[in-house]
Amino acid sequence: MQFEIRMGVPEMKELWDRLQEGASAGTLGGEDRELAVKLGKAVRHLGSDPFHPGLQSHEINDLTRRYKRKVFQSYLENNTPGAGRLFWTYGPDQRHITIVGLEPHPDDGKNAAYKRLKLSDLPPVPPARPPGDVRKDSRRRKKQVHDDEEQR
Amino acid sequence: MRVIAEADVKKDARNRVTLPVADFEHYHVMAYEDGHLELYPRVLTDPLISQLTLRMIDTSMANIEAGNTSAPADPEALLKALGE
Repeated sequence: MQFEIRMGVPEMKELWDRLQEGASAGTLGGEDRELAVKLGKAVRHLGSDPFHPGLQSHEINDLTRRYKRKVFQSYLENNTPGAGRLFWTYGPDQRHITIVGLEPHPDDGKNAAYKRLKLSDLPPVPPARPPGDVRKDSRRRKKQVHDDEEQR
Repeated sequence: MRVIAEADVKKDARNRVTLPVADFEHYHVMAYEDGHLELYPRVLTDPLISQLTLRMIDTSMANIEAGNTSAPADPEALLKALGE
């Protein structure tokens, strides 16, 4: 069964668009190019068979419980310690798969290890913003990181 | 250490035995030359996820619930542009 692969809005979509534009223009740097190749191949496999052996797809129960819908993880590489991971879910419609996250996050820097959480110890899901709330995600994210650091 | 359960077990046709008490999901098994086995409970490492990735998933999930995702992605176009 062929699935239609979609990207989560906004961050996965922005990443995908950036990689696609960079690939077309031939302007992708080394790491971005490597990520684009791995992501492109993983998305190709995901579309034809979400449980392709190379993806090692499996459900992540802690995330399934958090979002009350099945969330799966697939690997971007095989036999590589610290391999990139994709998080995806079925939907929004039948025969659709939406990629909702990427680990490591593209913005994770050298201090990424200090900003990691145990899957079994996740904070509650933040409340959904009401329609018309146009605050930028980055501002909210910075405030949250600041709050987290203060709590520590 | 105190013994809390004891049983005589027999292998089935597929070489499996049923443990009288098995509180853990995973065990490390060591087989010795004289035939005795030792089982050690194993707890798998709790996987980690970055805060940024978690927030990325939070936002994507909220948008999926609202029916908001990107247009279909075309991996063939991307790989072709990359010469793969």
